[in-house]
Amino acid sequence: MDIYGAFQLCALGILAAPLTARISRTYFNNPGRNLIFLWFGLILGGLLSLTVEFLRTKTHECSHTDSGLPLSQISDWHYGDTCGLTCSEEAGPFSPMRQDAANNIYVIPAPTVFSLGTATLLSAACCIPPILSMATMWNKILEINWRARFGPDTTAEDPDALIDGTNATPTTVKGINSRIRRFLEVVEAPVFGAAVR
Amino acid sequence: MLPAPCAPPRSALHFGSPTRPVKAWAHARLANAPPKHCASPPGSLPRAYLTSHVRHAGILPASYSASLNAVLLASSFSREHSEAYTLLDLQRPASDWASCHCLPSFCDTSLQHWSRALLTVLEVLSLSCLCLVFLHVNPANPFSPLIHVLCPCTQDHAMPPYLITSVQDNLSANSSNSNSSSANTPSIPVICAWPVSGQYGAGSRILFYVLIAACLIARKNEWIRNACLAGALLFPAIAALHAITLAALHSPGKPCFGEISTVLPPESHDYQMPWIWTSMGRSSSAL
Repeated sequence: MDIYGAFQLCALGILAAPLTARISRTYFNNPGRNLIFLWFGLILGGLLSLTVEFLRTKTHECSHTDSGLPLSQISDWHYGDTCGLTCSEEAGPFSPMRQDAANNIYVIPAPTVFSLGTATLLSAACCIPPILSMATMWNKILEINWRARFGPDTTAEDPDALIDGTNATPTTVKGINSRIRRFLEVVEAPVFGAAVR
Repeated sequence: MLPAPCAPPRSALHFGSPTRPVKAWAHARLANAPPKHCASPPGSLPRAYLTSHVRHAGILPASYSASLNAVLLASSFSREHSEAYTLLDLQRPASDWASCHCLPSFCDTSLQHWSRALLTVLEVLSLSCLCLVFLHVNPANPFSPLIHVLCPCTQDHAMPPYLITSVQDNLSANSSNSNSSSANTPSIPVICAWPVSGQYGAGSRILFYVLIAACLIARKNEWIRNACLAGALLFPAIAALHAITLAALHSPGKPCFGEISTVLPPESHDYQMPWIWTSMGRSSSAL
């Protein structure tokens, strides 16, 4: 069940971190940015591992309690039953991560509210933000390293000069871009929701 | 679920033009599929079917998610660039602000930050709502929304055109074997698991929430913000390490159930999916 706990922290972290990290100049500027980049990689690895673990975990249908009573709903479940499964501290399964005092293992009703399948899909979906963030961040890192090496870009154009062949200046283009960006930001939440769904 | 008539066949929509010869076999299969009711008795949607459905019927979801991800990618990139512009280009001349064409209030960086905070909250809320949508359609079947998107009928024969014939027959045979008992008698899914560790208990979770909230609320105070951010970034990092270790130390052949035949689902022999996922687990561990 630790996969649920880890998923909760990872998912919340990956949703909240871009915001919290970006408002912090300390962490988003060099060399903190490289640290954040590694952090994103770590979280991405964790989320991929969690997806794998959620997918690997198999449930088992249990129709009767150990005392022979029929099971139709979770409230009928009697904790301590094994339902015919090999699942105890003595008989296994064993894990090197759960030894000695922490080796207690039980048969429990599989989560139904936030089931394993839902968790698989969600944790796979949560891999999208870190991938996107890492891509854009890698772009920034390359650009800033290039600037640090070759100096600032001196070929920057005059913001109020007309762009060749158009009736627009870089300033107006920037304004249009920000308008589009605002629109996309509004669209993003439902689209992201739909993508996850 | 009450029996409801099948929605009008959207199969043409799913498989493209009926005249396409490549998909002809799919249409032939669909035409042979009996027009039944959407409802299926509880438990009759076998796991083997679901997993095969998700694994092999990736045509439509792939096209859906490709288009959605393209939009998502565009919006994320534009947002990232705007963020980077305000935060990284710190040496921008003040004249840039003067030439800003937006409303003066939107030129205020703190307002921008607040609007972004709001957006992120919206994202989180949309994700949570999504969870609820998932759960309310059919709590026992997490894939049901996906299936509803793909096909109006959540019944066994609704998807066969997606499947390769022999594989599908094999799967349905396997699933009918494994689910023949559970389809008639009510049962609940159980799992053999270790309880949640103390590190994911209420205390550390609340501390995590408080740290994130403090990052946002006290972001003007650099010393508080940095300390909180360090903590808030550390929690998921440890959880991710733990997750990677869990995946790396997982032994797929370890018998949790009494019989080895129930340990390994039948479909795993057919497609060697555990191998794929194990290698994925390995690569994520390497990462």
